[in-house]
Amino acid sequence: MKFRHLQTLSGRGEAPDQFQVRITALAVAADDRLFALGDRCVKSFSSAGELVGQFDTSDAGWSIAADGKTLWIGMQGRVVQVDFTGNVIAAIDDPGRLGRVTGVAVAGDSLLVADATHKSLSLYRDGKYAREVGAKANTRGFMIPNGVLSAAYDRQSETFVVAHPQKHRIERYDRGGELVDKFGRFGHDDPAAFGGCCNPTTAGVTPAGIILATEKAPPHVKAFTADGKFLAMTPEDAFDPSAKNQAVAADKSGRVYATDSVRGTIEVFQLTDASQ
Amino acid sequence: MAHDETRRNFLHRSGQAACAAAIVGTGAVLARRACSGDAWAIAPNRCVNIRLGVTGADKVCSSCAEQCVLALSAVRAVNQHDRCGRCCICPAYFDVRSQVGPDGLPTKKLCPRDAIIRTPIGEIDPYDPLNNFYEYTIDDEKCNGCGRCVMECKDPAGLGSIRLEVRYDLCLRCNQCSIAQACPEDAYVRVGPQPAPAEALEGGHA
Ligand code: SF4
Ligand code: SF4
Ligand code: SF4
Repeated sequence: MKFRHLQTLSGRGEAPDQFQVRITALAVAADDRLFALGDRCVKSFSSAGELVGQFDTSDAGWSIAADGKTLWIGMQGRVVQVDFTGNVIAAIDDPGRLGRVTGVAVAGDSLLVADATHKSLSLYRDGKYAREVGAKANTRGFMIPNGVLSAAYDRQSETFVVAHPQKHRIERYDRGGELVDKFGRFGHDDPAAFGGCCNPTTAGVTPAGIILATEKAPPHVKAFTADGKFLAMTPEDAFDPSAKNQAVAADKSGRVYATDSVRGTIEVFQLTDASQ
Repeated sequence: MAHDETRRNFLHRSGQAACAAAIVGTGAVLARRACSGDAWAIAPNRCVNIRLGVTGADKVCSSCAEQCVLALSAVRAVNQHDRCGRCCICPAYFDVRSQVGPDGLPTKKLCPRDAIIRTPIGEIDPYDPLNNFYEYTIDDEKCNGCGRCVMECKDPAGLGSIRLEVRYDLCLRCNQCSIAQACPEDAYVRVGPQPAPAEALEGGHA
């Protein structure tokens, strides 16, 4: 497999499809629409890359997940469910427990909330707190020197996927919150390994169940099979060398979207067979 | 007679040489200390080892380590602990490009002077050695400010908690700082006399 760069969307600026200050998170809906969260708004793009909508958020958002016809947006101390035009449907307000929500993953009535302030994962069911996740496997909490804890839901295996940067691995939790698998190790020369002090920085999953892991210094998106075999890596010059904590999302046609935190862009790749 | 003459000439010449040496020496000391109140500092946005956007071991500037008139440079690395990620695999401590050992850690250290001390915080979990935080301290009696660790710790690879500092307790405040003269980036700057301590606290009672 390989990543082929298709196009660059958005960027930093005043144009309608751009973000002025920051772009923080991406999600792809079932109809392959891309939602990009940044500044204090959400912008949506068609799979051809055209801006098709925009709405404001009540506060600065740090994470976003799509589920059916709704979006979940992680903020400071809360997660808000909105429709695709921004109308609020529900909210989990839990400022006593939650800090900055930098990751959110939805599985039916369950919501896994990644909290970068407390370096912890919280599982909510039907909007109510159910339990902490990952504490048994990680007795010192999640080690995230980069300041971001991410989460994604893999529909194929019905598990949550989490990047654990300082342990150089991807962890997988079932819907009950139990650790069921992990893969990854430290290394610099083998592309299957994660280098530096704290990689992978974030994680995502394609609808086909391919795991996406982002790395900083130098920045990449890497693709792995469900059981952790390395498949492909984005080209060396795809991102600004100082980019990090890239948000990542993918659609049904194998398009992979990843943010560049320095340029404020969304880089679009096609994940294809190596022969194509 | 000839012998006496030679001896007198020798003493005369020696006296002249000693005087000259004393004058030159005093002049040199005066020149070095002419601005003894002035301090030198590193401008972090200019120094290649500190400023963002420059990465890679091949770009490390070691002039601070090599040019100072002191045997061990007055420039040293400092780790600002509240910014440090306390990473298990710190790229400033380990040479992360060296071979990985059976414990999953790089086999070589980065610092050529072994001046970084790695101490586990709390007890190490025997089932998961990665499940730990580490404190990294610079041994300032070994560090010569070569800048390698600073280059590796900076963002985005690290959190930029290690920086180079001029140690004012060690620096002689030379009038013509040899590091400043050698610095390829004009990053070694004179920051002028240190201000005298305030006589009264601002906002305090008279
Ligand atoms: S500046 Fe050089 S000598 Fe000092 S701790 Fe860092 S690598 Fe070692
Ligand atoms: S002023 Fe002199 S002692 Fe101080 S750093 Fe420069 S060369 Fe070294
Ligand atoms: S000589 Fe200048 S550029 Fe080189 S390490 Fe010192 S301050 Fe930085």
